[in-house]
Amino acid sequence: MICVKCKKKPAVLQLTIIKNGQKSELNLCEDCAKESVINSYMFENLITALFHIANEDETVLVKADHSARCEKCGMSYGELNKYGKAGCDQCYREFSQLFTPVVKKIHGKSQHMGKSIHSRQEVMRSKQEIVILKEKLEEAVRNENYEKAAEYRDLIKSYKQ
Amino acid sequence: MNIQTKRRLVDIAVSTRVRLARNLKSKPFPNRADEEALKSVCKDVSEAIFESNSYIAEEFKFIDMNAIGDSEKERLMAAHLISPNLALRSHGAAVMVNKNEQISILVNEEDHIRIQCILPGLALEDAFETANKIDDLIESSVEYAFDDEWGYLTACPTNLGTGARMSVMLHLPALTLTNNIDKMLHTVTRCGLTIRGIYGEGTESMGDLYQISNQKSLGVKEEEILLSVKSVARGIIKREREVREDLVEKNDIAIQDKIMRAYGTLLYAQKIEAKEAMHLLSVAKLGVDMDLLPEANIETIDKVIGNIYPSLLRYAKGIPDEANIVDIRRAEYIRRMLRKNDCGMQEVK
Repeated sequence: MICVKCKKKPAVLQLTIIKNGQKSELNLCEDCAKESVINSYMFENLITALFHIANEDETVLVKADHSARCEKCGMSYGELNKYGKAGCDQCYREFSQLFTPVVKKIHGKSQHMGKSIHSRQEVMRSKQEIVILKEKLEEAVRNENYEKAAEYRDLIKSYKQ
Repeated sequence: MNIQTKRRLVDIAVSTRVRLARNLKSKPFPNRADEEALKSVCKDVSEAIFESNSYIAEEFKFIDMNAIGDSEKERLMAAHLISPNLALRSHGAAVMVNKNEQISILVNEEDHIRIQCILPGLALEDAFETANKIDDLIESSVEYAFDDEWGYLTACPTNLGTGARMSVMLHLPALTLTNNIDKMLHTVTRCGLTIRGIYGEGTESMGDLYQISNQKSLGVKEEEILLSVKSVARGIIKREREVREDLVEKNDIAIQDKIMRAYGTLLYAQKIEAKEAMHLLSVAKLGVDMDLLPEANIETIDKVIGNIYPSLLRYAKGIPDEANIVDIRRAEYIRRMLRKNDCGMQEVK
């Protein structure tokens, strides 16, 4: 297979890009891969690979943030991108636009369910209840059970107040 | 459940492991923490256990990774009480282990705290309950890093949410021998679970041992994770048992030949690598279960399996064993152990 970009050299890398839910595959040679947005193509681990795909999704957002550093542990965007692991709790907030698509890709969900620390138990209980109610609401709508759906909607409202 | 089926269930489900990953809010995670911060984490976590008024305090002992030698590290690793990762840390790493060596609290591995409970057989509820209790006890004296959306914050985003990894180690020689294993493993993946080698992430399967565990930890409750791992494990156990029964019923000479040959090799080999030995011992275990090897003894085989593993520490450090010598000694040991049993002699340690 030859590289789709230069159409000369053999393709050594297959990139799978998922953009807006659409999957496309690019076969690139070593040089073209280096040139493209993905400057380091030797993915150290799955997470790092995911990070790169995540960048493809939100190129503009992430590019603007390249110089960012975590105030608490000093982790830089570059380091995080390389190792794929957070340096402290603050990193998750500092680099949230980087983590959000990654977390979603790994877990398929974005709201924690289950045990929580003591001080957040009450808040978490209603947060998690809303998630469950929303799922029920969606199901009721799918089944065209609008009466039940309205009930869930009202319940969600009451929790949010 | 009668004794016979219970024994068989334990045969297939070797062990259950539940671990919870936690971090302290006050310090950077171990990969970004300096020595002082790591020491302070050790102090906080050990105080949380030892200065609690709980009976748990008396159950545990604190082991500084710097204070023990390679052989003790090796032993703790083989018992799955510490990870190679923890053993290789140069400073600030420790483990707290309880008396019966079923609970270990790893301090400053990838996360500040990893609470781990290992029990024999399929015992997810008990293992989770135990780990959860330790978690509550530690939390009563420290502040965890936690986010309303992403739950317990961990160094690696794969552990976010509950920070829970629940796994069951399964011994599947019949499924392997009949080439059904790939199909089975495929099903596991489809159910959203993963398969790992016996020493965790990145290690390969040996001796037909497979570790299945949850892949996702965020957006699913602990109870849901537990149920999904349990039901998949049960399904596989059932299938393995069916295939074993089928093998007995069919009286398949080719399979019997494989099993007898495996035992024959173990009795006569002059040098043997760990991987081959693990495989043959696994097949021999199946033979005992199928009543094909009346002279063999399952306890002896299990003991041999536990003792023939190559040096994990050397493996983790990337130093190769002196292969030839080790392989000769290993074969010697296996012959000695299995033959002792043959003559009906008790092993004297």
